Amino acid sequence: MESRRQIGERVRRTEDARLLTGRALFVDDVRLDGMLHVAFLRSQHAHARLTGMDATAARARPGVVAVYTAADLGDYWRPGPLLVPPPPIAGLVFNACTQVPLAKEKLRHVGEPIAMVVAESRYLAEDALDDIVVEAEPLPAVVDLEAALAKGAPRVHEHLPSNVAAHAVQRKGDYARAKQRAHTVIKRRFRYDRGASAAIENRAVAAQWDPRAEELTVWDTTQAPIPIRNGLAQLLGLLESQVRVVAPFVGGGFGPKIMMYYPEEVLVPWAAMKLGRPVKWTEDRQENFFATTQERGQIHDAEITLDQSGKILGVRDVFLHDTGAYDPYGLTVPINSQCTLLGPYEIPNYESEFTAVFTNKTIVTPVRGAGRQHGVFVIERLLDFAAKELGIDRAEIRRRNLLRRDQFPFNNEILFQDSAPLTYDSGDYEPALDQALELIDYHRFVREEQPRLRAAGRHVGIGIVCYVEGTGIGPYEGARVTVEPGGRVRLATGVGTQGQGHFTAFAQIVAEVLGVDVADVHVITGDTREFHWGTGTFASRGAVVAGSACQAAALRVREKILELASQELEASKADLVLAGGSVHVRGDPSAGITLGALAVKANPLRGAVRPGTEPGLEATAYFGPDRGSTASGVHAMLVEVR
Amino acid sequence: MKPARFDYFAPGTVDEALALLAEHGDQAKPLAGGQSLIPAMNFRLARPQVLVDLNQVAALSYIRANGSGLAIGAMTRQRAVERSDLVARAAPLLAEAMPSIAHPQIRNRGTVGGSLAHADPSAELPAVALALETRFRAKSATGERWIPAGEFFKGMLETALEPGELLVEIAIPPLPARSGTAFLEMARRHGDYALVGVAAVVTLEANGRCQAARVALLSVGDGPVLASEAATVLAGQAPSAELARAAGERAASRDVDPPSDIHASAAYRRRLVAVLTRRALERAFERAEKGSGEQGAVPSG
Amino acid sequence: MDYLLPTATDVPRVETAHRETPSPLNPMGAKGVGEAGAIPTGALFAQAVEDALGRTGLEICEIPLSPSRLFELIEEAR
Repeated sequence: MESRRQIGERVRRTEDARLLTGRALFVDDVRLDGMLHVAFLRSQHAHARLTGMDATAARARPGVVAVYTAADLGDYWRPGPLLVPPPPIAGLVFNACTQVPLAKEKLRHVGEPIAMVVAESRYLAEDALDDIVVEAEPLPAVVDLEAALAKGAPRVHEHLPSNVAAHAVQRKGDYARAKQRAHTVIKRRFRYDRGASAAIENRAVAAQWDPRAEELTVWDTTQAPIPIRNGLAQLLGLLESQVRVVAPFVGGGFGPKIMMYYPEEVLVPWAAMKLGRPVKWTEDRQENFFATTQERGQIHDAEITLDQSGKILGVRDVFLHDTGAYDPYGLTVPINSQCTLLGPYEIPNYESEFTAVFTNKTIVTPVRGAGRQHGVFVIERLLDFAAKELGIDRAEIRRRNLLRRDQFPFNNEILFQDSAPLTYDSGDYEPALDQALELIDYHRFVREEQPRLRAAGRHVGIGIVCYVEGTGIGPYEGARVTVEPGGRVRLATGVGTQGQGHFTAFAQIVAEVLGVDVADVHVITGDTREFHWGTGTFASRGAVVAGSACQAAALRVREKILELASQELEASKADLVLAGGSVHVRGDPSAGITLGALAVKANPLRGAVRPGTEPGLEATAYFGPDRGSTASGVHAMLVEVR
Repeated sequence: MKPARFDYFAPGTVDEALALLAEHGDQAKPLAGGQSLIPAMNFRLARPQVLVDLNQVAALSYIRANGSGLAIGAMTRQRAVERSDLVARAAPLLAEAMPSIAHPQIRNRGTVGGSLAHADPSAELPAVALALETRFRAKSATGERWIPAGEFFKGMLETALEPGELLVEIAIPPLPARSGTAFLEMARRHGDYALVGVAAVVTLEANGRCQAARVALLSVGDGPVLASEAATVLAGQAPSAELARAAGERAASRDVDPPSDIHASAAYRRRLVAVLTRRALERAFERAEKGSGEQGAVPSG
Repeated sequence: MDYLLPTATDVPRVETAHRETPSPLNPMGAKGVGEAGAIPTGALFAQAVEDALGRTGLEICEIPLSPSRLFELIEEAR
């Protein structure tokens, strides 16, 4: 009953034909009759009090259909939801201040939307931005993380006593006692500066209200079409089933496209319903730099204590995290920093304290890595400095501290972003280190090559770094697998796709279970009309969580296939083989029945079926892991500085 | 990022273009390759009311021998200059600098005249033009005049061109015998705006001493900067590594007052001026010593 | 115009090798790798660049690292 191995095989990507020939739909490709276009007036100030606004001239400009300010939104104006409530860390301070659709009294970062212009073209909409008169009284901006916490610093949110967005301490063991036993203590300050991910496709939202079907369709570059649908339905007073959100092909996600809800995301559908015409907004590259969420700004004061042999006794890290002007994504990023610092090492005593700080900068939400790189940066640099101080080779000090194979599952005793204790499910770190060292020929480089290059006046260096990546977190995803009468298999799942190769990867999983060709599995993702349970694409969870759901659904369909085929072929299920798109009795491949023929038989048009029979060869399944699985890796590089 | 409204004309001849420019005065902007003007318009940093598109004016696109020098039409694509054998022979410094201008896609559209008239201080062509003592031919509806490179660049994005005047041609004089040139720049990546760039021209006397040197620097001021102090260090001296180093140090300390910006501090730019000037001079001297006839071979940076 | 758009030509040669330690938390034993390329990069560059320069006293404790900033750090370490 073995099917051919397909997971992990090199196959031609099934989505590429559409992508490479320009047939893939992106949101900006959505063009509808009577479509209107949007431009946003955005704050030029990092911090200012908004004292007045006059949009009369903009409204009067030919081609302008509507101009909306916060006052025009009425009850629809409300701060966004807190997307990720913080984990239950003892003593946690957390001040939720979520973004607003249009600024009302205060401007808190450059790029914050102030007004929305809807016009017959984007050109006209941008012309009208100049017509809007904004009276703003500039305030001193909160930019530097340490200055933000100083007494008397200007406050981003004036109802709070300070710019502290959150404060959290997580502990394992007893760091102070460990330090007393230390042979070596190394303390440094580390800075990781802000950055922005820049997807090739910027954000875009298009919306159309169909008054006859009473249905709202929204095309959105989101990484989370289902939560967007649910949220829009609630905001707009519609049934969830009246809202269809399509996240078609998306040109890169990297995290910022799972922020919810961006102001543009709630305003464009609202305007489409209000105006009775389709409305589209496509973010331009300039807007992308300050209106799409960013990441990375942290300052760490970290200390490592070791014994003489280079074994880590403990680490203490106190850091500041820049959360930007609002904190809708909770504490995911700093908690990832806190957790990922532990890496593949046995760190018996750990104390990590962070303060998240409001600043007058673009909102911070997870961006590729989502805080993990900060933790890795701190521990890896500390180990490098410790190696130097103790006279131990850089690779060797890492080896001495790696967790051993027999220590898994390993509980790190602090909470991860999914609120579960950070537990490494499985791993074997030392062979990975050895393999990386071998691949880059580390020892020969250090011993022979580097001295030779130095003598020739060249600056060539080598690096070796280990890390653990928390991945594949819950809560759940789902999938529906259907064998069509033509014999092809249809797979629908809720996660959106932004270039990861989901179409191929999910098809491989289903193809392996059902014994069909990868090319015969037609995958649909990111359309709530096709599948409407799930959460989204984030935290390296597509293959783990959605992939497991695809497999579970395919296994159920396989069971249905075998059940029906055993009747048709008058053979026991144990004797049946699924291969090449059909089922046959083992040892007699010529006398089989195709999956398509079975699908037809599973959906009779006349006659009677046994009570309880489900039509078709179709099944839906869900998967939710107890907690995330942990991947690990070793990276090594050679670099020349000229 | 959509431009404000503008009127658009696409004349077919220089005279038509000049007439349009005369008619619309300082409200009009000539459009060459559009690699700087169009982004500026999309950002609404530039809002010309009238665009006079020169892309149909075929008569402005040529590379010609001019005695033993060169004449290049203002609308000649940068890519054409880069690939021209004539340029490689007659103005190897220009040929060497071309690949440093942005990326091939941009050079396919970008023009020689457009870049020079835009006068971006971090652009390669203005510095090369200054080092080569290029002359600029400007035409208007009422006449024409020649402007020497030293007078053409007036500051940040500013030139000596008057409203209604169009840059139609540049003339690059031949280099004396026993001359050598070199172009070097440092950018974050190849094709990005240079943090600092150097265009160097040296001429040797029969006895091997340096007769004259012209070193032009880019990305260190409001426009291309002629390193005249460095030139005085070189004059009359025998080329050596030590001489090149001294000239580089002099250029860094006396010829430039570079800005600090998000890409580089003033101190780092000064250091780059010293190092790149030294390297460029060493290379130029070496080529001059080999004889000017051989310097056309494409050197690698 | 100050936007450093990375292109294919900026990617160094990368060799990858795989090791499998299947997860007991799902039937396929799957683990995610979506962020693996981004997570250790800063630490790796800092270490390798520091090693390349091999100067006593030079410690790279920050990311990102521009040529200009690296120049400043080298000057400070002098």
